[in-house]
Amino acid sequence: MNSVKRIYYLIKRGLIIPYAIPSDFGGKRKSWQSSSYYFYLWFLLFAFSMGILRSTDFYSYESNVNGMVYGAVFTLIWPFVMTREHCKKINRGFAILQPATTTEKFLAFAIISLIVLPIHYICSSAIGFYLGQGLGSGLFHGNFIWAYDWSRVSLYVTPITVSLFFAATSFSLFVSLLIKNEKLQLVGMAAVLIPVVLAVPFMLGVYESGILPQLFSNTAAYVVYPLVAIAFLFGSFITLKRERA
Amino acid sequence: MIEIKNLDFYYKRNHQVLKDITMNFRAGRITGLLGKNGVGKSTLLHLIAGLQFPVEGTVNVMGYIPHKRQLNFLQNIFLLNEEVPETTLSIAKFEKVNAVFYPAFSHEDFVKYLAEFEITELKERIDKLSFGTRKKVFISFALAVNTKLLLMDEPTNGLDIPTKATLRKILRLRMNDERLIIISTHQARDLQNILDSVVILNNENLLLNAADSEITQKLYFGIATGNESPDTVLYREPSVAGDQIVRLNTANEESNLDVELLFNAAFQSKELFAKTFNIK
Repeated sequence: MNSVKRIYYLIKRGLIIPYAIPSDFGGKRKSWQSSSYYFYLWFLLFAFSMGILRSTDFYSYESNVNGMVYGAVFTLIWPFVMTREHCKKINRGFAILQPATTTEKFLAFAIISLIVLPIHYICSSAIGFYLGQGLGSGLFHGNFIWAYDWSRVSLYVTPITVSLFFAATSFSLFVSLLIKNEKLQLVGMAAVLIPVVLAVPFMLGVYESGILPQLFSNTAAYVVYPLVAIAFLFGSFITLKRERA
Repeated sequence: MIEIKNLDFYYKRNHQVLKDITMNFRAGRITGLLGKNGVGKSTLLHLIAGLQFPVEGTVNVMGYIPHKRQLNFLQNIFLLNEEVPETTLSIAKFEKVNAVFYPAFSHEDFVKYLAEFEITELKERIDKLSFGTRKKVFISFALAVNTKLLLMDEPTNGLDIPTKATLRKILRLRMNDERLIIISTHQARDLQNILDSVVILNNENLLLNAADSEITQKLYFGIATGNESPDTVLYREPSVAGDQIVRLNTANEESNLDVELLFNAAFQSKELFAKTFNIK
């Protein structure tokens, strides 16, 4: 089997398995929860509630709502989806001992993390947001507006860049476990945790102005998150290569 | 096939798991890796598979350094963990997405082993199966990949008595001179009559690494006659037929290896045992 085929099957395996929720995730697991649709539904519902909120006056200030909404979604869920699941599989040795080269695994993981999963989640959350905002406008303003603000580039760009960021930090964790580099592991964990810590007070409305909201703003999301993501990916790959040499 | 030299391993500095272990595993054998809970059996398997990295010393498997996880190495080993994953895939789909990675995988063998374990419906979802049946699926897959090295961690856990017998039969049939199967277990009786060699681990150290022929040449397993010198008896256990004993085989008598008695003897008479098998 050639390299391309191996990467294809690694992606195929990786796509199926990361969705499976560990049994200790939250009590006993029902069969429908173990399907990949569970996470789509989760994103859809979260975005739906955010759409409803946005149709009210609660988030009337236009500043950073998209960044915040998607930031919160990805901040809270992505580390669980990516990091936890991958760590679990690494410990079991199921993925790590798959007969493929490290580069093939790296590419497969990067394609899953940076392209395939974000597209899935963005689609789910876009649908949820569309439905939530439409329903909310009808409920709170008496006028059902079934329209998505397609003109706002930030609606697509922000979730992509934010998901890039978390995928990259999760990836650095993946690499650090792969090569047992404790320093990289710590940096990766910190990178995943810091936005979580920052996001909670922001969501509670503690910060409405100042530097911290800017961290979650659309502009920052276009620049900061992708740069950090690229830095993490680059750093992880260099570390990986150096350890392998 | 496997050479381990001066291997040290710990998860935390103050808790050494393996200390200065030097041993070899030869191809063409089914080797039982025995030891009490928590002595490092699974860890040793993980070190051989390349999941863990040695703290000191070296592990060499078929000429490869396992933790480098080179493609040719990974294609020739399979680690069957004690816990099998709960995947939502059907058996057929699981085979489709995983078998492609193993050049020597045989679909015919996979179906044959499943049938031996009385599993014929490949469309069943794996997460819908009972733990025992799920384990049978993964054991069948582990055998069908036809790797040179097969590592099995507690494969008999969760299996019923007929299935254990089927597993023993399949393992014996699957053996050839190029293959090595290492089975870690704390249920010694489950592997009775199929082991070609036995490794016993005890807190950090090695208590035994010997072929069955060497063991039965040096030790006698049987019922006590009352004429044995107490100095030669390593272990004694009452049974309906009389006391079962393990004693030094000074008269070169023939007997069958009893893995459970051997295990108990190794722990009860450590010094005599070590002296008999030249273990430091």
